[in-house]
Amino acid sequence: MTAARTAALPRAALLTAGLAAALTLRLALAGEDGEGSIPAGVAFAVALLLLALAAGWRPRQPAPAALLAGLGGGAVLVAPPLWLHLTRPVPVLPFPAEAFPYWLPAALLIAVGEEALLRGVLFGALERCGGTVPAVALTSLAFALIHVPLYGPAAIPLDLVVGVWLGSLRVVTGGVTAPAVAHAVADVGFWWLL
Amino acid sequence: MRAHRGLLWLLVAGMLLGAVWLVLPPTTPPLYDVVSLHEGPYRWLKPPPGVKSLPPTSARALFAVGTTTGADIATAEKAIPQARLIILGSKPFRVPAGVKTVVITIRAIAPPATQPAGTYYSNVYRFDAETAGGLHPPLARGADAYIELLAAIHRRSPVIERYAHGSWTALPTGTFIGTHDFIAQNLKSLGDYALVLPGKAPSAGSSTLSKLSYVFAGIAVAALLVLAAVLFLQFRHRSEGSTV
Repeated sequence: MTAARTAALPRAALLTAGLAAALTLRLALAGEDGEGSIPAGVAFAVALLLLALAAGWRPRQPAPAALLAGLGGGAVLVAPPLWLHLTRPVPVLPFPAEAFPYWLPAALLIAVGEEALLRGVLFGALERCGGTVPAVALTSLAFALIHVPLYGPAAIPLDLVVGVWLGSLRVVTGGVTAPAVAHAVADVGFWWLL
Repeated sequence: MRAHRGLLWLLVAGMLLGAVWLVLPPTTPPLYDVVSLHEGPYRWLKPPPGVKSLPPTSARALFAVGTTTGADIATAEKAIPQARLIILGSKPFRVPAGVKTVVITIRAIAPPATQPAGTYYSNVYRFDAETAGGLHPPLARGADAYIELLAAIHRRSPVIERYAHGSWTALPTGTFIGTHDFIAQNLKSLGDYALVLPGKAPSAGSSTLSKLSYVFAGIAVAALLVLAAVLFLQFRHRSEGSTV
């Protein structure tokens, strides 16, 4: 038990360093386009998946219960903005509908990549090191921080609690499927609600 | 026990989520993680030195006074526009009796002689309303009008400034998180507006930035490969250890 804990700590450190390297790659490739660069977003997702696979994560056939939990979790994430969208006369940003087919695979790949690394291998390593609470807290913090260079510090509060929500789905279901599905549902909801 | 613990986690996380949504500013979009799309490179009326640019587009719309319940005029229809005006309500203009329509226009104009105390992050846009008789009706008191301006430069946070009577005035500026779109609400009047970064211009030319970007990308890829290799060796070592 202690040996497993000892081994998990450097693993968590390596994964965090890998996350930082993947983010650096994304920012360097995106340049002035920021989050608007689809190639940079795809490179980021591929880097995260590479790290997760190297650390032992393997995609499995998703269990129906995890899929349902993910859909429910995604609905919860989409509900507040949907309510705001329907009740407040705030201006919205028109995203070009014809770009949706290009945007969708990139957004899904990024969601899966982030979840495979954060709620997958990093969560597992941190949980072995210090238990569930540090695992949820630290992966949520990492989730919020990786968005700061792209969206600014104003995104921290929302991304932090979204990280806690996705981490909770990981705790409840014991796998990556539910948070990955919830994350993907939220991203797709963003497209249509903004 | 595990199910109870899991439900407790979800309950706490759900309450946190609800609390954060309640205190977020109204212009905050539902950001989680997204790749946003602009219409392409920024279209400058007067491009900065060394920057090639297509000319900016303009917008024109007819507003039926007392009939139309709102207007949404933008310089691009199929992408995030560089400039946009949103007017809510059917009587946002103070027009003389008998005036039935107002033409609303948005167009980029040459920057005025008086420079703002900062760097332009967008074209100067003129938001105008005109009746058939050539009058430019002011906004009615309490009119609900917003303007949105897209930043050409995606670094730091500029503010929307209005040029009137020979000087620039900064307005309270919000942003759509996750975009480079900036918004000023509750406009008192139409007129000339631009995004301005207060203070001195950021240094670092684009070519230097581009070379540095390649260096950083190369270092990041090398680091990723080394880290992935170490993680894989660790994983194999653990797998072999567990099967022995």
